[in-house]
Amino acid sequence: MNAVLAGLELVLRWDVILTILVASAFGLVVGAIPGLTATMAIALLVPITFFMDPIPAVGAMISCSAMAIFAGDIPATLMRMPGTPASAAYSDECYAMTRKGEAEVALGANVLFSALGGLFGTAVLIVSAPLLAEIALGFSSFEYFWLALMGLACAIFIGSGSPVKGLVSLFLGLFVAQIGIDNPAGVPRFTFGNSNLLGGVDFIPAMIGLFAMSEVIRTIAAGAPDWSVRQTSLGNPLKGWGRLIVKYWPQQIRGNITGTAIGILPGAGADIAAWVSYAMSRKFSKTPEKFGTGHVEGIIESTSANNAALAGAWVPALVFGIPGDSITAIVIGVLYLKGLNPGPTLFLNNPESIYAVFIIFIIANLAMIPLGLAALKAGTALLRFPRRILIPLILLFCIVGAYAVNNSAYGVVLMLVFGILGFLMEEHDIPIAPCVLGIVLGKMLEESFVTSMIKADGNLLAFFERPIAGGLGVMTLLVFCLPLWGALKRRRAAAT
Amino acid sequence: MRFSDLILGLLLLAGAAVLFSAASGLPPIPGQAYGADVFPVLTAAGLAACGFILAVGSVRAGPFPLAQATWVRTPGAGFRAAATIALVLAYIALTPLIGFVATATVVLTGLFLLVRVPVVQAIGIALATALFTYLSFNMLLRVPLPRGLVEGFLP
Repeated sequence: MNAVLAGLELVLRWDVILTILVASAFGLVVGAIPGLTATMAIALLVPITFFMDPIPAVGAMISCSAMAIFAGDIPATLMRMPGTPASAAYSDECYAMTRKGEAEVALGANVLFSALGGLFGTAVLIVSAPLLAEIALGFSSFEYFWLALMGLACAIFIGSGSPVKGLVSLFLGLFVAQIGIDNPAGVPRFTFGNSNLLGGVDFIPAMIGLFAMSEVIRTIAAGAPDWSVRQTSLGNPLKGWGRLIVKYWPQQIRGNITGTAIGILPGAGADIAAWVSYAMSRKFSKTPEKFGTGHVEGIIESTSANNAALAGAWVPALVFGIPGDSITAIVIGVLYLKGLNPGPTLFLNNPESIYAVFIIFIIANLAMIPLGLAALKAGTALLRFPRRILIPLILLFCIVGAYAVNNSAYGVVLMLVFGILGFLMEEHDIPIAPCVLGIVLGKMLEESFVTSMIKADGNLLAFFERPIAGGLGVMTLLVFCLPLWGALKRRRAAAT
Repeated sequence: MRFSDLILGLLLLAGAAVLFSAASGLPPIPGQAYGADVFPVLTAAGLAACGFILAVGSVRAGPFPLAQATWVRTPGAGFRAAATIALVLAYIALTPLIGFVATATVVLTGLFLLVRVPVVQAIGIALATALFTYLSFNMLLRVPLPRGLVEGFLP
């Protein structure tokens, strides 16, 4: 109880609350602009967090991401253009409602169920994280090896269209993680004699490059054309909230559970949660024929899921230091910088910080309702801001952010290199998320593998000898094997 | 700019070969079978396998026109992409010489002109943004952006 009170004391300060509000507004703007993702909002926010205390820094990232995921629904509904990939699954459905003159119902449902979904995910985080942390205290390098590998496997086989291209992305990320002197033998690896590279590739400039710079190159190449925004008159978005909750509570609960579960799964995040939930909603619906014609049922389920996934993704991030999605991948980097090293010991040594994180999640999701409603009023005005002005400004912000990491031009060089890499990867339909996870988990994977092999004297079977390690190992191998088995089955069916 | 899966696969195979040869030269941990070379070698093997699958899949599928992204069809797209990269390179080269404010103004103006913002508007917004960014980062966030030409004029 003392830790909870200490956590409250950490959060209920004017600077933390102000940071949460400003970060929410920032997330709202970035999320509402199509092409700019929630991950990009977080990557751009990171350099600013250097100058904050740990709790406001974490608060900024939580509130910014929660708001950005919701805000992605605004252009999806008004223009059929998802603001973030997490809204893509149901943007057609939302837009169909707008065409039917029901934009306020769609947007009202988005605000309400996003907030409720976020609160559900938070509740699961609050209950499960400390329990898992207790179990994780007994984990050794064998278990961490399998957890890291499972995170990477999920990112490839769940998150991307082509598993081969997902693997290419992953191996590129693993290669980046191998650069530097921080390896089992302590020898400089792939540093090309450059002293900057001895410490490895700085994660934050790499993220700014992969997520923000690549998008800037693409948009400027296209001439940064403005969107044609049709003025949609919005009525009262609060209309019918009670009826929606009463009528669609099973969809909401199912969306919340699916979203949180997918969020917890390492490597899969809000966008996948929304796709899966939308498909599930249609499958279980009593009126599947209404889907695609502007029906609120699928919207409720998937908008609940994507915000629930955000909180869910924090479970493996806090407990094991393994990111649940690309947003938590960046967050983990910031936690290390702030001395809040994620892992089960964080729950023992620093419980007040953990409770502060939980409280911030609750505040951020509650604040989403008034801020979201205000944003709906400003929604179309926001979308009229000329992209020709906005995109170059974002590039300048990227440059300054990458510079601020070490106060050196090396960060800008890294950002540029990774910006070009991210741009080329997306041009070739190579997903970025597995690469990011490879960079984050590469060191853990290598260290846990080599440590385990030294402990087991080279015996590979040792990875299955401890009960939890064995279970995790079988699950990981299944994640790898099931898609291959499915592909083989499809090929056989096609042959016969 | 998009390569076919065949070229992409061949590039990955070449990259894997380079990585493999670089990894083979890494010294082992004395007395241990697993050293600094294990993961790079596994990564090289993985990249090579992916490259092989992509290349073979592309050959099997036969020649077909590549689907280019929509932005490629915009006139001058390649030039604008290259110019954006060149402007960031110019930023890296010029900041130590003339400082942040001047470089950021030049780079931003260049970017604005690339996307057809009128010249006067471009210079005005660029200068105002550069000054605002410099002051807020230098004074509020304590990021020592290079002073250069504004040395003595601004804090």
